[in-house]
Amino acid sequence: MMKKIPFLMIGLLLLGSLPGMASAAPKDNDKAADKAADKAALAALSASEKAIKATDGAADTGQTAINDQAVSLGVDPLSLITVTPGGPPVRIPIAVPDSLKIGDNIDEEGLGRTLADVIRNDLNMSGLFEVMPVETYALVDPAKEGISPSTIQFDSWYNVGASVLIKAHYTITGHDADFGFGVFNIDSATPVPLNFGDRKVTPANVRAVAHEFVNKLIGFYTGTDGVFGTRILYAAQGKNNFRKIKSFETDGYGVATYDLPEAINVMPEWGPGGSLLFTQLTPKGDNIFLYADKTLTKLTDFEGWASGADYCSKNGKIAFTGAREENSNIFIMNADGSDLVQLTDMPDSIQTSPSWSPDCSRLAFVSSYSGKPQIYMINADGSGMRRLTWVGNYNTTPDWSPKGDLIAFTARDERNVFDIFTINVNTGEVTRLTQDQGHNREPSWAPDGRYIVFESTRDGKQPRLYLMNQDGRWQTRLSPIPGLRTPTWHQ
Amino acid sequence: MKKVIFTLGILLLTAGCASKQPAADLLQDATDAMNSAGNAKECAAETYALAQNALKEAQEAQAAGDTETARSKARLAQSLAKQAKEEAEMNAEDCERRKNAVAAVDQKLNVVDELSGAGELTLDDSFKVIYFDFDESFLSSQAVRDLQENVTVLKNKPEINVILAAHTDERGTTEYNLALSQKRGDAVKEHASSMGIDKSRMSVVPYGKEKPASSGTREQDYALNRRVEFIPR
Repeated sequence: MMKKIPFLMIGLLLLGSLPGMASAAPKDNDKAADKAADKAALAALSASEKAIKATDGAADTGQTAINDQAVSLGVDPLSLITVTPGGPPVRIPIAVPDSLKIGDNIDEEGLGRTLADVIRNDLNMSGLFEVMPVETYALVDPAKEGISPSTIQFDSWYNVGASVLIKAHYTITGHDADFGFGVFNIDSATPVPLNFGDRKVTPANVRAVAHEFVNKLIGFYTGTDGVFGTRILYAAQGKNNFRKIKSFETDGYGVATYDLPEAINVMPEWGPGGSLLFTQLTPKGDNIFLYADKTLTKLTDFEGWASGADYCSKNGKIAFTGAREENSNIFIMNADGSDLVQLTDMPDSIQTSPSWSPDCSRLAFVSSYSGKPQIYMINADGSGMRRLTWVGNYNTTPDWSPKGDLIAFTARDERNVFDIFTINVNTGEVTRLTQDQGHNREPSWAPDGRYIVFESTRDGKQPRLYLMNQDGRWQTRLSPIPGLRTPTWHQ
Repeated sequence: MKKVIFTLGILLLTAGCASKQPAADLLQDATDAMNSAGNAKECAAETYALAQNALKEAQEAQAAGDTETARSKARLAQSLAKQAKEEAEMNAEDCERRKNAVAAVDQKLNVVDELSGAGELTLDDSFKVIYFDFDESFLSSQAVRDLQENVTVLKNKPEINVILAAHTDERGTTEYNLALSQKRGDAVKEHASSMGIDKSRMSVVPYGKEKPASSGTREQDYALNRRVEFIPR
């Protein structure tokens, strides 16, 4: 029975968002009035019906079957809905009031507030939930509510427009706190069995606990946990055109700067065990370095140019671009620089930017063999090379999705504007994800395949890092800091 | 008067806790950081404006008695002000250059490289910078004429070997630009070789879009950046 609840919940929630339904409370219907929203909501309804039917059908065949359905249908209910990129929202409306402090001790560190803020921000970034504005919670006066269902004013929360309610409560001891978490289905006035246990929260771990809660909540509703709080690597502008390699968490907090020699350090990638691979441009040539355990190791020794390492943990190999004589080709080596193999041998053209498929059996890369840069694929043993993109004359920076079906890339359009696209590896279908928002470049997939991080010049000349859903919706800025480039999400 | 009592109360409450600074102190720190941000207003305008805005919000929140917001906005303002200062420092050269006249295309650029493990490299006045067309690596007739002069210099100074530092403008993606700049370097090397310079005297180092000669976004800035420089090594 437990397994069925997420499904029915999604069905009910999506049904609840359908405009004009008898069950629709006096909610804000402005957005729903939009024609496109109607279409999406109808599609959602159909999807949720399918989900309910599928679950009902599976009920007889035992728990495993239900589980499988949960995975296949529950991974991302929104993927069942056809909308244009940037289209109307179909998100689960959720209320996240401030954490409720129990007892008289003062929350010197603002733990309750930080926890609620991080949860709200993550949920809004997720593209799966819409956090109802905190000002509207005045309808309820949540400070006077308890934490058990009998004390919660579900009718009032319903009028806030939310379908799900998060209630965190805590007691303070010194600088730390003990937190408990409650999740409630507002429509049915019942607890949601998320089973997220109590947590000891400190100023050092409060953000991590908030991210973990959101990740589990996303997992409960979709079958796959979220990825908030994981790290993104990037190159940041430094003095004299130098570049620093840094990383931060998904919401732009927790910036860490790698202690590297001052130089043009670019194109960071995650190496073995979370170590750092990057390319250093010097007058003696461009080469790839490994930074692990505070030790810097030069992995390549090309007189001209080696760059853009992409590490695959499944086979322990690094793919990269190398040019020993004149034109560049794709090379593969071990993570310590040994066992160098030249994979492509294309004359008089550029081969660059290799990206491993998630199972490490294939690579996507850029080749200008046809005259202009296009995306190609090749097997890891050098066989089976084929061209993937046929539209446009500047298709670069392929990044293979963790699910294996899509490759995100940067393309230049007929106006010389750069935007992010995906191509389906099996069908060749190309989808545009960004448009008319400055230049958008250098996409990198989230480890759950739901999001893409990329650089965008929509706020000014210097690029900033943005996040969007895999279909281009919910584009969110990660940090106001300019001059951040080539992001790479930790897989 | 109420506000004063309120502030005093906060001060008393937080007196025993070193890790929690009063909002007023944070506001002062943020203001100090803004004041010491040097020429950030001109040379890191975007970030400076963000810092200004955060400080304004902090002051408003403080005035409204919302000390939590005031504290967090003040912290943000301080960190943005520091960031703006850092950006202004690294942009200083370009910023100055923008303020002065735009360099003519054939202007000799006096850029000093301080790259790790390589000592100082200076552009040599005796060599011309070779410029390229957008998205191209072939040599224009002007480029061939300039290259001819560089070849003459190399012939007259057989003891000098050079690095061909190859660049693109900022459009395009990072690694493909490395590739494009390498093709430009190769085109120069091949042509110089065909005019009698031994290939072993020239090594191509691609920089892609990472070392622009001009940081502007106008067509003439881009034109200055699509280049191969001869640097004695």
